[in-house]
Amino acid sequence: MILVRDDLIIVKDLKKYFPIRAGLFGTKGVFVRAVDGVSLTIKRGETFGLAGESGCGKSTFARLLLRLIEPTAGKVLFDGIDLFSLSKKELRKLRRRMGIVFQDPKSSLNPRMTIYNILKRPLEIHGIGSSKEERLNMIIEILEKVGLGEEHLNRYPHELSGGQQQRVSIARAIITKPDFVVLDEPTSALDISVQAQILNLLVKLQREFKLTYLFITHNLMVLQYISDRVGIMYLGKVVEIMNTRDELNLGKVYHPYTAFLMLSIPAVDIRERRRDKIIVPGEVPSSINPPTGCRFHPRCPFAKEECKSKEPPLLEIRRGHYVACHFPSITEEKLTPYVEERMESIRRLLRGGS
Amino acid sequence: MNNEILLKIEDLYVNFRTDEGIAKVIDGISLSIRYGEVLALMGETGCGKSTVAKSILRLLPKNAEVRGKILFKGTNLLDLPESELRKIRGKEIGMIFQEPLTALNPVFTIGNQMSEMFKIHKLRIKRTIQEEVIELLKNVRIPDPQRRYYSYPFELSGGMRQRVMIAMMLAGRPSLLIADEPTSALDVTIQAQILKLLMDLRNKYNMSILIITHDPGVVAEMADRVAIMYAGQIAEVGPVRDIFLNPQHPYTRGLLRALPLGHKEERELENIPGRVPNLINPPPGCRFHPRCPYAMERCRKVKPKPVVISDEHYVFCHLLGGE
Repeated sequence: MILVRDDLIIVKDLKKYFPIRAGLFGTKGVFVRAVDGVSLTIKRGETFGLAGESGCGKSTFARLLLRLIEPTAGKVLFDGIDLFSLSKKELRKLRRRMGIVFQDPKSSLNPRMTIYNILKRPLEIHGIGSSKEERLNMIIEILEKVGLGEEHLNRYPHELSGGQQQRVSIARAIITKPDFVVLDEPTSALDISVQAQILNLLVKLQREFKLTYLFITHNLMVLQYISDRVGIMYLGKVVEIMNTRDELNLGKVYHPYTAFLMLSIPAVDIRERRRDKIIVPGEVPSSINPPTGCRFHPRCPFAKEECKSKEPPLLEIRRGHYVACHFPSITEEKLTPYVEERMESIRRLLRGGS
Repeated sequence: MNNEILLKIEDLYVNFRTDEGIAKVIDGISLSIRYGEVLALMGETGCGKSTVAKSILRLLPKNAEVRGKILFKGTNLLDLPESELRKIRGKEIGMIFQEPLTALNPVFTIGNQMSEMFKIHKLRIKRTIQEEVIELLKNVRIPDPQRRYYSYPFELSGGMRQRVMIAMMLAGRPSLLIADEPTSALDVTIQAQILKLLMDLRNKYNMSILIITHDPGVVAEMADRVAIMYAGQIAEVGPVRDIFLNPQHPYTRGLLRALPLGHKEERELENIPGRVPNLINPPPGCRFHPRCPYAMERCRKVKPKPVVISDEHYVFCHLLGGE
């Protein structure tokens, strides 16, 4: 639900190259190009879903948006503030407006701290609350918001289930009343029924606190459920950006990689199961020496000469729908109909009342 | 696929002795797999699905007590002396795991490890062992198999390692392949490739596959029949289409409605309230009853017997009648 029509975050040509040790004498200009020129905007109040397979740079991108790591090049404007020009002190002040939830709550919660202490830390760091009582009340209130309660205050993370631990991580991320929360695969380690509880909770909290989410996932089913707009990443680049409800969920995708990803959503209605499945060949190449031209070309069944030499820019092909492909019309003809069929089968299944 | 039974599990109970007490992990389950059939065991963490797989090959740790029968081609594997079982394990019944890196030995080359299969099981070969190995690697579509023969496991990607594991299992021409979460550690496009490979191989060799997974997607893509497990009991078993389109057990229904299909603006996801029970003191009767919105007095006392819904679709639930 987009409440205010403006941009909270503007990303301009963001790059992050990690040097790697090569040869006997250390680094020699060899880099992993984790994020290699990404530009996009995240609107206030929306959930921007970012998807891609391991190594595509989605987690590095998220860390850059919170300035947990420094960029190689590019700019991030957070509510108009140039994030990378801030001093340490100014950054700390701004961090109050940001939160992050990681995939594995077990490793992101300090095992030697009680839930009370875990939640008290951000309040202390940002100087929120003037007395012990006030802070305690804030902690109890946030615990209740995430479906826990006072009885959990003196527990340690290991005494909680995976789902409860993730609720604590969420509470920690939102206790400072931030505008923006990065959710980095928050449900990937959870069972289906627990995942459903956490997704419901995230939607509820977003509405209540008017949060803006960057939701990172490799799970396409979760992506199409939770996001308002989505970006698909491949080898450090964004290849497609679109609206979820009237484009992605209807199967209207125009980059061949997006189409292959969406076709990997299983045909839960097995009337749709085909033995001659459409599968993308090959594996993701290394981001140390990414392919020239379009990075997807070695795996693309439709690649032409132009794709090997010229990198396709991310262009708006419809209002708000961006694609980085020289020949989106080929995907539209050869793959889009299958994606539409797959998404329609999901809607049919839901209507069928199962 | 013919209708003959390859593997039959009868009234299997598995208990684990732990410091806190005896965990009753598998509570009397019965299942069968036909020749050439793909059966999926699906459930959430701790439901016992991997324990079932491991009891078939008797790979459970020493603190496990196993009761019941596991008949493979008519022979009870649980009665077999270890020396006899070794001839079946890895030859007639193959197994692949979630993380192939832990199943492969890091200090030997792929060729070396795969050659061992031929030596240990004294397999008949038509050419040199090396040629046989390369042929197997080709079979699982590993590019450049001649070179991969000399690779070490760490030099391969996760998808390639899983292909090597599958190739290794194919050496013995198994009639049953047990695949325990074979694609859970892989990216979606690679997962699709591996599932397709498994299906092609089952068609080529008419092999039966028992696939253990938490992912309904894998079930939908692969399986002929699926058994839904909850806390060591089977909730529902039947053809995949019947289970997915016409689920009857409250747990199966809850699980499918919890899948994030559709969009958040259109529907809220279903919650299954409560948590998986502790199996040292499991709930009596139907183990799902403390979380079941329809639980009756009988559910708390009597373990449900299978109720026939249609042809091969059985539900273990008192709501649906039975005696």
